[in-house]
Amino acid sequence: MDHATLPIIIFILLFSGFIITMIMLTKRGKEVFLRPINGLKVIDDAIGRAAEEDRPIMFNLGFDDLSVNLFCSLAVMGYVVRKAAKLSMPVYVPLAQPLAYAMAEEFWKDGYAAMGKEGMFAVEDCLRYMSSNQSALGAGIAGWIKRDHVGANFMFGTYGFESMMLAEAGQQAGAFQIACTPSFYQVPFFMVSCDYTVFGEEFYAAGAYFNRDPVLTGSLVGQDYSKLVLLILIVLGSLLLTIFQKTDYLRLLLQW
Amino acid sequence: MSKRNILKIIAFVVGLYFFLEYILPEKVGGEFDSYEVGCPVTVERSGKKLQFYVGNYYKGRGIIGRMVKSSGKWVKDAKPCLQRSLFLKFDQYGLTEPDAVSAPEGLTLLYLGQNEKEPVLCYAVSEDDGQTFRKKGPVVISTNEVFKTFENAPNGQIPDRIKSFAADFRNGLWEVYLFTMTYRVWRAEGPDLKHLSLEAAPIVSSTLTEKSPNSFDVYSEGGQPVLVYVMDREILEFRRSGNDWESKSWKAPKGNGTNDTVYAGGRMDVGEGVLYLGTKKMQKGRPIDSPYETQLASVALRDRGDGTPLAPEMSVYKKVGASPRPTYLSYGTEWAGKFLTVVGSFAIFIAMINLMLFHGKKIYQSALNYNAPAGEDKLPGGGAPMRNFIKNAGYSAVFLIFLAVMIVCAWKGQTDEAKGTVWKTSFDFLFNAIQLPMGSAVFSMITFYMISAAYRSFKVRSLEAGFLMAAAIVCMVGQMPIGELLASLVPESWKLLQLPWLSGKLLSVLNAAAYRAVLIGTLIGSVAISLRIWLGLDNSVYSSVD
Repeated sequence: MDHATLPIIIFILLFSGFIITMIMLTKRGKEVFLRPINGLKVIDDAIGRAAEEDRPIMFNLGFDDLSVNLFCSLAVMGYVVRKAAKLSMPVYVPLAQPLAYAMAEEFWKDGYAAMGKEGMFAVEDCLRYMSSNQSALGAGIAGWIKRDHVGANFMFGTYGFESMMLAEAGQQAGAFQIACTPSFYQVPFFMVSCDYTVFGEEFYAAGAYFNRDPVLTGSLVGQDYSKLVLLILIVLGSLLLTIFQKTDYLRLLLQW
Repeated sequence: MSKRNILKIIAFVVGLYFFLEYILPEKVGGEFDSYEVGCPVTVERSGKKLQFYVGNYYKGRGIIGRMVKSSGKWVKDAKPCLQRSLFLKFDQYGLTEPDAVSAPEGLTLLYLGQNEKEPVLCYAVSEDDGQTFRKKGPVVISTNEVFKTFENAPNGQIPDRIKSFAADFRNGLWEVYLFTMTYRVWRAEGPDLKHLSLEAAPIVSSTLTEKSPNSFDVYSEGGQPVLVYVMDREILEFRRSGNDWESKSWKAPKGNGTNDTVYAGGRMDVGEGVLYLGTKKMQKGRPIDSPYETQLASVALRDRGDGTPLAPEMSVYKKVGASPRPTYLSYGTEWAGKFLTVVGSFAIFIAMINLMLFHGKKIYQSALNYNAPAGEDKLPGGGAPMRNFIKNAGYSAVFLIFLAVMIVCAWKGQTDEAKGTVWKTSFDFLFNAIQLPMGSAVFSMITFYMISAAYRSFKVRSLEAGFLMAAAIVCMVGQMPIGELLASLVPESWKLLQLPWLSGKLLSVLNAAAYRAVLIGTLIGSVAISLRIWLGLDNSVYSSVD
């Protein structure tokens, strides 16, 4: 593993400072504006539509093993499971990673238990470890979507080429589809097949939209300040490098 | 204290450990040479026999370590004696090809500093027999234009680049021999390493060997330089004879520690002999990119006349698969990695049980329904027992049978003795003739999915969809031969209408800029959520606790 260099340490500390400061400010009551993200706002609508049509819900966690991406997806999954449990709807969770299976099972059970619906659906019927092989995972989930006529298909997390298979299977089954991924190269596939696609840093903001917890909203604002600093540095650096390209020390500093 | 708070404290402590491990520079302890060792050189100073070598804790990050010969054994220092710089640009990416010289101002270590451009010849001086060095920066040679890069060469000059070098200090003067990429050898001389003058012409103007040597050294014999070229284990010595160079060659003995490469590692007092140092790399059974099993060894040729070798002696030994440990804290992260592997193995077991339970349950329920009269079965489509059984449980049965067969074949067929047995053959057949082709078949299905998706998305319903359609057409046609053909019909000055050029710009400018913007956002987002989890601020992660 590569180790942090001094600039990286400085940036990490700076960004952490922004995020923690904004969390503290929002905890003290500072009002913050959250830009609405359509893909996240319609999650309730998707669950409601599936319930009206009496069709099951599927929540895909992608290929993430133990990582921050998995935690983000699990947080949203917990919300979807609780909403579905309220309406006595089953939530199917196909899994690609054994470690993710163990964690998802806890979140899934907890979601139903929170609504007093534990035992309503069997775990082995709803949570299924498919395969860590992309082809097998894609084929397995596509078959599951079509066989059970899934009404709402959520695809959160990191995906590879199987994204197209899942999204198209959902499209053919007529499911309401929402994709939310940090995998940049899968975004076009999701965009053409899903009703709503959320990507980039909005994936990490998903949790903040379901409960206006000051910690989550504050960290979002802190992220925005960090991006602002980077934007200024990029613009300033490009300008200075263009103007002073003959000055070796300045170029060295900018390259650093 | 609640279970949730205990978990938060554990997460914080573990996270702090990992964070510190990441931000500590690699100079803070650790095995700096755990990946690979090489390029040994030797020197005598204050009656001590010293050996310096390049150690990598990770591929291509050379830093220099020291060994001292004590009671007939080479003893390695725990810490490296010379590190790469974090800020100085000449050796930011590592140090290679060291040469040690005992000079009056102190033990001097010359090395090639790796950086983002060409390697730079640098030096460092030690006042404590090589335990620590103070960097002095690049060696300054007059007529430095000769060693500028090809791109920066002034008109009419033939530039060159240093590949290897040898240095010596004699009669109050520094002598540096530079072996270049074009196989020439230049000589520079001066009172100190900041004021060296390059001779007007190279002492060797073309290659003396057919193959490029992997190590180069020079020593003096009766005031004349003797050039030492080493190719793998072949050692060639060149002495001047009139205008030509006469060669004498030996093969280094193949033995303990010298199977791979021998380095021209300097001279040491071993009677009349010249000392060469060797390395041995063991790669058998080595996973890709794992650390080499490498050892340094000394090989002495006792007599230059007949080349009788002394027994090689081993000096550093690395184990196969030893993980790089760049800092003291890396031991903990290595242990955590192993812990995660063990937990992952248990998780696979649980996931397999889940699969077997699901499919076993389906078969059991279908078997219960097998003879059920039409309308009384618990599963849909009753009436034709066998057809329903196959429909409802056929796949599950096939899955369980193949799972059992694969486990047994893998269990019995993975040993070396199992080669050619029915277990190994069956396992290979199931894997190569069924699993791989089926994977390829599934992958190829994506093409059809893409076509149906493209058909929907290329309907121009809005302005954005129109842009998408236009960009897609430009990129597709720009990559095809017809794009080149169409471009040839457009004048050169009308670049904007040339589809290959336009497609290239769309991908390399617009797309790359958008990608980087998204990447920056994604990375900052992941920093934020990591911080929330680490500091126990994000309760959604702990929602299933309590």
